[in-house]
Amino acid sequence: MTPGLRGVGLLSLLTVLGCDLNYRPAPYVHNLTRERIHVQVRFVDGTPTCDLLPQQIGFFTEEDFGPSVRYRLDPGGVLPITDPTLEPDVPEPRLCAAAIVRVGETSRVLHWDHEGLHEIPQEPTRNGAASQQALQVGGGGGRYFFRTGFKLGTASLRGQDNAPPCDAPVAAPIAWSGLPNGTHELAAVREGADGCLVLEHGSGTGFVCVPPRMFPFVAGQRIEVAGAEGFGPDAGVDSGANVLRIRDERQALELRRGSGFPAAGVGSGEPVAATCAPVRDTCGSLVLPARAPIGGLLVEAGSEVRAVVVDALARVYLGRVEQVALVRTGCERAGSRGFRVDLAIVQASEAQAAAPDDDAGVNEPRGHEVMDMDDAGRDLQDDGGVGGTEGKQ
Amino acid sequence: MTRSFVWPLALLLACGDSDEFEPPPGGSLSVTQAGAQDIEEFRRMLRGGEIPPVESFDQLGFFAEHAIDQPEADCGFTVCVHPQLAVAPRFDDGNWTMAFASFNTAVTAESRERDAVHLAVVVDISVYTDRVREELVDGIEGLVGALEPEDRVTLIVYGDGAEVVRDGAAPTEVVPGELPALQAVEEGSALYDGLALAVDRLVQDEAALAGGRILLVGAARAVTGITDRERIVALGAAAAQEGIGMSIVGVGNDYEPDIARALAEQGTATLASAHGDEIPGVIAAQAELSLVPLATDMELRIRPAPGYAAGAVHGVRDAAGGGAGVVLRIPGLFLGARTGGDDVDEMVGRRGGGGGVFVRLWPQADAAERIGPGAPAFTAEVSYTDHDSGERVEYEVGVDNGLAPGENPDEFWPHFSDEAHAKPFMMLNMWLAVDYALRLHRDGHCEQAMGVAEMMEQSVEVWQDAYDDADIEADAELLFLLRAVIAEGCTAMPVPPTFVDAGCFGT
Repeated sequence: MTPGLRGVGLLSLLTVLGCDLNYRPAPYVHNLTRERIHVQVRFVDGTPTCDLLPQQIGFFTEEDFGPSVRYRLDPGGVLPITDPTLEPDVPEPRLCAAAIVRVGETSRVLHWDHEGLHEIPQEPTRNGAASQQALQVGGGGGRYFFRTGFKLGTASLRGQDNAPPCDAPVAAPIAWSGLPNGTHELAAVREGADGCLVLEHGSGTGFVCVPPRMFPFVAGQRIEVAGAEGFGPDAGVDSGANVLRIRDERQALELRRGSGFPAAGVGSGEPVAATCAPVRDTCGSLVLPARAPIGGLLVEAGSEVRAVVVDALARVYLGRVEQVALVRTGCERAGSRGFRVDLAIVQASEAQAAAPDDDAGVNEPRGHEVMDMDDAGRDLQDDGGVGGTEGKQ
Repeated sequence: MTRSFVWPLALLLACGDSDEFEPPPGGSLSVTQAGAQDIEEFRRMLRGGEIPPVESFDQLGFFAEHAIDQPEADCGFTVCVHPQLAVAPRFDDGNWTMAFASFNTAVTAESRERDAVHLAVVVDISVYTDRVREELVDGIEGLVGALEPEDRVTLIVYGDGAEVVRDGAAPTEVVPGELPALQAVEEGSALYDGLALAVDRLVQDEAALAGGRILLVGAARAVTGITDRERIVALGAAAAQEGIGMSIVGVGNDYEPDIARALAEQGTATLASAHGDEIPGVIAAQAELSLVPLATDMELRIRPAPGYAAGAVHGVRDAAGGGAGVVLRIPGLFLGARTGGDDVDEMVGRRGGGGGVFVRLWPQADAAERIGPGAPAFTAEVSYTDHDSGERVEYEVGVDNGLAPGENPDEFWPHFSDEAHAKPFMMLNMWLAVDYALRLHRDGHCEQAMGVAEMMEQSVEVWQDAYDDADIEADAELLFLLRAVIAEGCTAMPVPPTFVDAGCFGT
């Protein structure tokens, strides 16, 4: 691998000049014609989940690709299709990439895995490993044909319009703000217009976006708030952007969002994504609804189950459960293998758990069980954690 | 060719007494749709030498910068519809038949009697507005000064968190220049918290629900607290559901339009952006323009006459239907700022022009022989709720085509049903030209993208010789600026594009 042509992807017009260096792993266009050709490249505008890319790229649309970068390529020349995320200043280079490559009026949608590619010589022969990643250009007379090596996947963009719709449930993310670590007295708890809870406390107003039935605290109570580090004398800073813990002397609520499942003692394996066409979230990312394995059951987004979590019975609500096929630039990143799972876990607090005779607000163990829900995902047997409110999540 | 028939279908009395409904007298002031009110952010990117993404070229915003010279608003209702027709050869051969409808009103901010409003002003005090804070505070000062004594103001600031600075105060009790909270500069930008506090306050104030509105002023970035776009947009939708309108003014060089644009698509929200010296004027103008809609829940049905089918729709974000007719849904219509093309305000610029909606009409194959010239082309059926009277208003207006369906005019000049008010069709052509150029560039055809501008140059010249219109002049500047920016990264010579579905005006 050589840094010789780093930065090539940022130049709007480039004649590939001869030099003695090989190119770093990349697919390449090899001009086999006797004419100078123009090559236009549009890289995908976001981060694809590599496992899903071959199956999902057909659902991408033109809007999922960035602006065109145009190159001039002399007869016999080689143009590496250099992924901009392999630039030295990009902290997390992608392991796979996709681009629309156009020569003349003919274009191909390509995808590849960097792991599977070899260095390519400046003057590649037609044989050998490097030819497997070649996009060779032949023909002429104003029209060109491409021959694609087998390390390069090709696809056509068909978007979601002609695909069967995904009817699996999609839930809004669990979220919170305005709750600094420490102890607060709840002056008021009410459901906001968007279904999130509005919490007035001594330090201001906080917001928690979970179904009201999953928030076991009411006005007048003193609650303790902590982030990822947990409760204790050192838990003064809220570093837990993805974890929030709230407890009083009887009950504890733990909220988790984003990557990482199994998490917090919940779950027994990797989620399973639906096989339908992905749906687009409000940020423009493509997501597949998924189900999370909890206690031998595959549980959908918006569902609530009773499960034993770290030796104690808990009510567990699943917010988002989805696999992200493409995170568009500027959207929230997904975790490993593209899964995002949000959890709300209600249990007896540690102090309460030590006193088993007292009613902890969590019913006796019934093993793992999915609770009955109505169409909106509300629990038909639960009267809600906040008196009289109805979930709008 | 003129309008063929005009009659009110019905005046449905949803509430109130019909005797109390006094149709406004004549006059013509533009009326703008909910949604984007300008394309200032797009223009700013171009001026900076950057080619904006295709999706950032907002159709509603572009059209809203155009004042349409319209007939007098003497239809007898608060909002009058003016449908028109244009027929032209296409740039790339064929026939281009386009229906258009614009709106105006005889009501003015001065003549209007509106109910009191509880306005929640949500101000961004993050680092992203630090450099424009003085202008921002001046704007809020002007806004509060333009409110009526019976209005109420809740002032909320957001940065690392959000805080209510004034709660339901009389306008005179809010002096922005003296509030330390507006001088603070915080690292974070808790947009959700600020908006959620505003929605909560307005919902809690039950008296305000009939006239509760949020004005969000800032860079509209969500970097602290709840940052999920989904949650923020859902909050905007929930506010709309509660009857709370929203006006957004994006300010400063750090303004991030993505979330603001998504919020502006909810209910009767409006979106404008402003930079530098224009910030105070644009913010203050919201007191008259976007606070209370003139009409809500508007449905405009474009029903093609026999011999035509309805096709593509431009200029409205919610359309449904097919060849037999298209229903355009417009959640809110607001008082515009302009009386015509020459009326360009120093403070608010070309914003508040009004624009309108277009529906492509496709002549059927044998219609020319079967129907002939001078027959009806389409009907515009309007229904909306008059916000001030609460009445449901319905009426319809039809338009004839002087040519047979599908017939092109003899010369390379369009056939208009109302040539004195034909500017919207040129406006549409300018939008199509910029949109095509952006798409061609994005797809790697920089030579064709520049070719679109070349192709339009003569058309603009002919049009401006005849009409000398400030808005079309500004459109041409935009198109030629785009060509110049594209040319910087393209060594090929401009060539005509292979496909352009636009009307040929004078070339």
